[in-house]
Amino acid sequence: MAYNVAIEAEAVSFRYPAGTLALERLDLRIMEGEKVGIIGPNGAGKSTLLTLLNGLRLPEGHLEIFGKAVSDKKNIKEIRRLAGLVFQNPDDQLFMTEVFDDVAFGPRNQGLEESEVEQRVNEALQILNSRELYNSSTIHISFGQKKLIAIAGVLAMKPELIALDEPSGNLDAFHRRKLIDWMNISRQTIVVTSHDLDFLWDTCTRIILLNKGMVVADGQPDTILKNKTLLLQNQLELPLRFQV
Amino acid sequence: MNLNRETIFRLNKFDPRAQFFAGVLTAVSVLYLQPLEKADRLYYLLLLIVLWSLARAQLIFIFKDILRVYPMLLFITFHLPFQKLGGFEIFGQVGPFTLYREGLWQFLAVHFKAFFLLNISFALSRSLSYKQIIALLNNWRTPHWAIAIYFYLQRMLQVFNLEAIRVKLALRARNLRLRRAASRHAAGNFLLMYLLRVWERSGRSSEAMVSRGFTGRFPIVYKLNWCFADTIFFLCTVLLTAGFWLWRIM
Repeated sequence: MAYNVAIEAEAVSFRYPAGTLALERLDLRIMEGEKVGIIGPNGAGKSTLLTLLNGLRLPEGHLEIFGKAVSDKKNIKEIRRLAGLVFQNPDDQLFMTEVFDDVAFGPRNQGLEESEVEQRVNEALQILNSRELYNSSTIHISFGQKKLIAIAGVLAMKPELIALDEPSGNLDAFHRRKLIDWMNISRQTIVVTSHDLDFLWDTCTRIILLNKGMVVADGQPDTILKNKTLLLQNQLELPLRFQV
Repeated sequence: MNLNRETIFRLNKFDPRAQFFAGVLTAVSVLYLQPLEKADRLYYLLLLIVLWSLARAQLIFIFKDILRVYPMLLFITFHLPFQKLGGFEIFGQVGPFTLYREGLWQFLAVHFKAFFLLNISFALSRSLSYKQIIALLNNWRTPHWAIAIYFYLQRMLQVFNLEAIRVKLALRARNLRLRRAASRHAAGNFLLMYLLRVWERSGRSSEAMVSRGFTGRFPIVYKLNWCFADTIFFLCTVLLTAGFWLWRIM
């Protein structure tokens, strides 16, 4: 497998219209096929970073996704095809009233045939073991189930890069395990933010620690997730499995 | 089994074009062909708009009884005790129950047809799903931006509904009593927060659509398929609505 650059960020900053500086001169390079966990305290800029990867927000500085500059409006459509984003709150992400339609929304926008769309929806729900939700209403299911459907909606698009914002939140142990298993066998580039450090330990090959919009540490899970002092300094704590 | 829901579900099987024309015919019949006074006509028009909007917004948690077909009777006749039935001169003065009942029968005798047709019209509006409406708009070559605006509005109404349920639960959980001034103040804050949250969530919905490749052209997959049953349904509606009218002029 050729390892090309999936994400290239040089001096990337982002400020919200209200004035809050969410990211400050961030330099980052993520290779194709890498599974990167982004950690940090609340308000560190983790979710903001993910929205930049999908082109939802335009940053200052230079950001490229698979060699395509986010700042170039001509690239936005292609970037959204390449990079799928799962929102932190599934209530924000699900907008169709039926599960099938919501998961099928992305593939339909890609202009696929209806038979192909149906196959993609089936596959995505199968990965998360949620086939029973196929005909359900997106309004009358639990928050955890909504989370699964939100993830399935992005998986069905088969993007090259998947950005997951707190994917394990509200999932039961069974579905959390399913998600971990899928992430471990997936060949896509995955960037995931989470406070569930055990989940990141099980899935990621690299950890980036953000605080106040800046990279504090970047390295293998072994060096960051076992560093108690570093984690405590950034309002985090060791994963549960190391807290004996 | 809920009879009304079941009926609405069956109506949903008809082609949206048949349902739409049936809705228009009943509305025209109610508003123009019935023996109504001008004031009543306005009243029915407002009622029709309110019911259609509520049906589309699915604000069932507030009006769950009203939004059924039959208890609409109560809603339609709600204004009667406040009218000058039985010689009451002061607006808002409520008369004895016997007068109300008398007025109700009088009202039904005159307005039965309109009431009946309103029910049908309401059920039709409720039964048309947003996918059918989008397919219908597409069939009429409506521009894609207009379809997208319709979908956003539909979603916004849905968010209004969902957020209202949450706010209601939050108010209950904090045991707010509107009799207390402090509670009224808190309820006012809740209302403001409610509107802000609706605004914020609607914005995020559009972000979610855009992030999954939405560029303004809504993917339409619902296929319109006019069949024999639709023709029968349409003819029945024409006969029913025009029949009342013919009965009147005869």
